[in-house]
Amino acid sequence: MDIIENLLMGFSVAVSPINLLFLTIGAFVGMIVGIIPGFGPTAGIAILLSLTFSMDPVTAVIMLAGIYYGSMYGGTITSILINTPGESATVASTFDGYPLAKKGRVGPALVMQAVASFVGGTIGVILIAGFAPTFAKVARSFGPPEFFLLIAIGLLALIVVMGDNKINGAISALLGLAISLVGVDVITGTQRFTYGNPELINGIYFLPVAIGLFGLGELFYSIYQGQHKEGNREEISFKKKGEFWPSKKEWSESKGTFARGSFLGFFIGMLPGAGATVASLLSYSLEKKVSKVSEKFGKGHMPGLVAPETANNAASAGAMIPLLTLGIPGSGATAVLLGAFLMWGLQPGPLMMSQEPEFAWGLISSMYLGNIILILVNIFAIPLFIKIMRVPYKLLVPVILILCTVGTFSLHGSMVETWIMLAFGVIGFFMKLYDFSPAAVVLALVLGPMAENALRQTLITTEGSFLIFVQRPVSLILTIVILVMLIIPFIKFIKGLFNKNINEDKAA
Amino acid sequence: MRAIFSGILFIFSIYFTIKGFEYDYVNHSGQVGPGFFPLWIGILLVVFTGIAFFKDLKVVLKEKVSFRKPIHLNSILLLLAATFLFIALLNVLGAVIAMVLYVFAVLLILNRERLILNTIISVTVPMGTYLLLDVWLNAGFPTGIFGF
Repeated sequence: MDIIENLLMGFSVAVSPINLLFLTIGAFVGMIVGIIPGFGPTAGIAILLSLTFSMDPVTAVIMLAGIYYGSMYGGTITSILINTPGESATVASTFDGYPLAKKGRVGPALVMQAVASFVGGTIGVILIAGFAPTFAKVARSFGPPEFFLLIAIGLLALIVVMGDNKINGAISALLGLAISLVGVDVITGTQRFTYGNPELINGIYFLPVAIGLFGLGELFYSIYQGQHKEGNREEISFKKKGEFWPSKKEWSESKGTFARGSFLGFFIGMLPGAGATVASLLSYSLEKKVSKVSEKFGKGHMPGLVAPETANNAASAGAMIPLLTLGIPGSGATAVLLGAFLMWGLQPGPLMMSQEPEFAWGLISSMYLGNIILILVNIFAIPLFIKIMRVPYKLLVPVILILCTVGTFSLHGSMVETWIMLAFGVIGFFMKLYDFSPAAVVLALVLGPMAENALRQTLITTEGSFLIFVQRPVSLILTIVILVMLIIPFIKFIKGLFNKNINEDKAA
Repeated sequence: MRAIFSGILFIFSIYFTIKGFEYDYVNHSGQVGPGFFPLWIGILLVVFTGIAFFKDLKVVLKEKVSFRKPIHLNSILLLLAATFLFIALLNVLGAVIAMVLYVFAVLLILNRERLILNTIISVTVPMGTYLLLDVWLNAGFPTGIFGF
């Protein structure tokens, strides 16, 4: 009952003409960002954050939520039409999306992805409403040791999901932590790595870093790949007059997929570090496993598109749980959102649901409204987005560059921050080129000061003893989780070495 | 190229760790000091970037990877130079003029054939940005020597 009351209160906040207008603008702009190759929710929110500065915080955050969701929706259109995912979370959507389009099912595929995104997002929002208050209640008993361990788990998870590139993942997270140390140490007042520059006393703000890594870095990488040269897109044409709606068979084939994808996506999205990409890939393989016609997957089978689409949108909702209830972001996009919250003086965490209920529930309700707006925009404006998609990339480049540079300058009117953005644009290009994780850098940069403060507060209360991490029940569980996360890759590494030696002996 | 990038990261990590020693590991009251985190993060960075660097170096030495110039490297370098100049001249020329010149330069690099279209975009995109960010959202663009 509480949930319904809270949601109604949230709707009363979100459903004002101005909020609905900016939610629609956010969703629309997000869709456009999602269509641009390489640009996903993180880049969208980071680059467009400067547009929300003069707004009321609730309206601004609602618009950002619209951008967050919109870019997830938009990323799939390019996956289906040109076999180029807008970002990593829509990679799995190319597996069956593009073959469907090749089979002449462009309209049904685009409608189904919109419906799947809507179902995933809606179930995700309902689950947020159900789980967030409980999580917040549990989190209220957490102290600095638990927070430190949770942050450590978040960062470790981000490294673990890097697959074969765990070392690069670790380097990325450590670089983010190193950058987070620039500025005045809040406990002793010592200046660290500031080199006497007054602009660095408050530390390196995460947003220029995020805009550089995700905006400029992605743009340079796209140009490196020749995206600006025309004629490299094998686009499948979309005719509105042809078959537009999915067939009855396609609806019935995908019934169970909608539910499975949504729930799996949400719970994976809740795990720090895992995010929408892992959720969409896992959902696709789960669907393939449970399907009686698994051989059809990869050849243009509708459930193969529905599975990743429901999962990635539900995961985006799931990722809001640790952000809203613990104040700990689990992905690059939610890290940027956290930065935005802090900028408006809103501190997400266990107390936010009770101290800022209008904001928290307004945001949750706006996500629900965002889904409704997005499905309408998606179905009725598909031809328009396809036209936008046809704008040559080389003409989009100056727009992105201007938004990145001038947007960064507008943050605080700081030239130093603009230079920092440019430097991280170059670093971001090389990180993307050599499989490092820009998301881990941003996440660690945001989480770094929280981790340091939590650890130092813990050690002050224990007079330097680390035993507290195994003395409190929740801390003990979290410590065990960390140990397991550390030990499993190590065992795999040793096993790999062992197998390699055996194979070499056999070969000899 | 990969080995050069990981080498730079390795050198940065060593520098960061050495710099970390400058801050107190333990403060005067015996608590963890401002040097605790920098030192540990630095050590871990040295370890991981060291592994990555030597792995990449091994590949270079073993397979004798020769440096091949990427096809679109010139475009990236020119864009980078244009962005560098744009930021440097932002306060001198003012945002509006700097943006017009910057967009024109970017389009000259990527879309040399269509000068009329480039000129139209070079005026409309900066104007749109100026109206949106500066006039509507009060972003406070720099005015420069021309006063706008």
